[in-house]
Amino acid sequence: MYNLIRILGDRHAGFILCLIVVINLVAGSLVMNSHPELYPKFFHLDLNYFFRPARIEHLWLYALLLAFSLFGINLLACIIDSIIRIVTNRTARLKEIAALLFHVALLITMVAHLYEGFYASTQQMPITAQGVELPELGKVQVESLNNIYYPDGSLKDTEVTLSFSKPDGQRLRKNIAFNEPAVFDKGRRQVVLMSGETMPSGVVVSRSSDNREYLLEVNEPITLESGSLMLQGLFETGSGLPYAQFLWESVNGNQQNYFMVLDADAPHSQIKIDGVLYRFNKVAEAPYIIAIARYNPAIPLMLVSLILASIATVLLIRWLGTRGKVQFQKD
Amino acid sequence: MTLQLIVTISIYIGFCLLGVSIAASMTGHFRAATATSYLYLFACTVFYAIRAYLKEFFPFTDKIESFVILSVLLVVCALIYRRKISNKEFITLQMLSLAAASVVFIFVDVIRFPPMFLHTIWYPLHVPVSFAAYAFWLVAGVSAVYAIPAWYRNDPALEERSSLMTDANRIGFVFFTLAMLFGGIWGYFAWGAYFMWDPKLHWAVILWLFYGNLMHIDRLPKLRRWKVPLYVAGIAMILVAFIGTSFFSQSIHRF
Repeated sequence: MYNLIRILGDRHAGFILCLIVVINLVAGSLVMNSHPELYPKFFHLDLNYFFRPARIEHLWLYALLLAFSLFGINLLACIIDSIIRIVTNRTARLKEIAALLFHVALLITMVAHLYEGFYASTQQMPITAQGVELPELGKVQVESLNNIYYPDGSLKDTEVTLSFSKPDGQRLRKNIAFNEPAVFDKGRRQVVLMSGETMPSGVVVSRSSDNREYLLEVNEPITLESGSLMLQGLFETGSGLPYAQFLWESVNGNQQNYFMVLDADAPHSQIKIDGVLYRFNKVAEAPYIIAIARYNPAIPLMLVSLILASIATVLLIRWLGTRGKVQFQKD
Repeated sequence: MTLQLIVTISIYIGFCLLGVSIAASMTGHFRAATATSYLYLFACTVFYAIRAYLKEFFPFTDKIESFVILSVLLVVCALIYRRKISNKEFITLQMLSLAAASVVFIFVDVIRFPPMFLHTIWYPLHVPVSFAAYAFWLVAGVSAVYAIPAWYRNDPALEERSSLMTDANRIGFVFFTLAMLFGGIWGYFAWGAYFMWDPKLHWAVILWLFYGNLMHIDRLPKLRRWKVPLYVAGIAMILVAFIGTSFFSQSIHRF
């Protein structure tokens, strides 16, 4: 058994396999760069993509998976061999432990990448005040949005409050910003902010007879004395003049369209319905964000790898430090 | 005098000091070369301090700052290894540093506030350590270039350079591992993923695996012969990872 481990964990073979992995990655980089249409920006690790359908351009990835698999087997055998030697000798130096931890971290990372590559999912979408449905997270709505700017007017940060109505009935509220996602399920699920703005969501009109204000939102009719008024949409003319289109339906079922220019000083910024004037007051705005909803079941594995690699790095720094001291004393 | 002007003057003075340092090294005035190298570092400290003040953030967010930090770290590495490397290697490292700093004459320097995604502690932790790794690996690479004749002749003098390469690689590897860890955490918070199919990240993995693998070569008798050529190849890989992906790729890390 030990002989098999030594054969599989041959250091020379490991070195060459790692070089093959590197060469495959270089080839992949060149292919990706020469076929940008195949690899969209912000392309998260998705191995399924390379098999739907399999393409000749993805050959580097198939070779990479094979090379990584062989390298992984070699790495595992090396790790077992190292553990056996450390346990047998009952002495382990700082460097050996650091090296062992690095190799274990690398192996776990490779497994985590494979797991993530086939089972993770990414969705980029707009989230509005009306809300969107997300798997497992339920209905997500933007409650508030605050853009923070630098003195020169460039965007510094965006603070957003999201409300989640989960399928189990639980309701919760989370604040997100750039570099501050909403995290669920011990880090496996995230809603990450990409950008946030406000957009026109409706029109506020005032009735000239009593100055009463009405908020009309798209496709949400309001009832007036002799019928209902619905905002059908906000549009722009070819020359860039913004206008709103309304549908008036009287109590006897007659329908009529009205158009209102969204500029208080313009001549057509008022409409007359059933003898009553309604003036344009202001455009109502609602916040929306572009977000990435990501599910990555490999996060706990990556966390283990991160911790091991961090410990290994600290040990390596300590070892380099003690080595430096010895060198200094020699000099 | 505006602060922007002081920034420009400080880096121009620094550039001249580096030139003087190279000239002093070439003419055998080693103490003067070392002294002017330190003065270059001081000029760069002024350059970065004012930029940090103007940006209200760590000043590693644009191409000029990135190239100058590489230049600074190359000089730091050259000074660290001053006693262990030959004068030719020292001059080569300083020339590389000068080449990196010369971007101040190529690009228009507009000091802008950092974009929102960079506004996190993980970013300034990630950038300088990755450049430190490049600098240490370039020390190993330059040493390998000068070791080619000895390697070709199978000269026993190669041994000393070989241990320097390994030493610089180990330190570079530690820095790059830290860069990968910090970058991964930042990526998770900023884009929901510690890794994406992006040329910069792709090349980061390539470099980490390549140099991590090279750390083993001294213990492989059948492959040890390839150590020098592989370290020389490493220089090309660093240039692709830093310059290639930053200027000639579809990367989101593109300058």
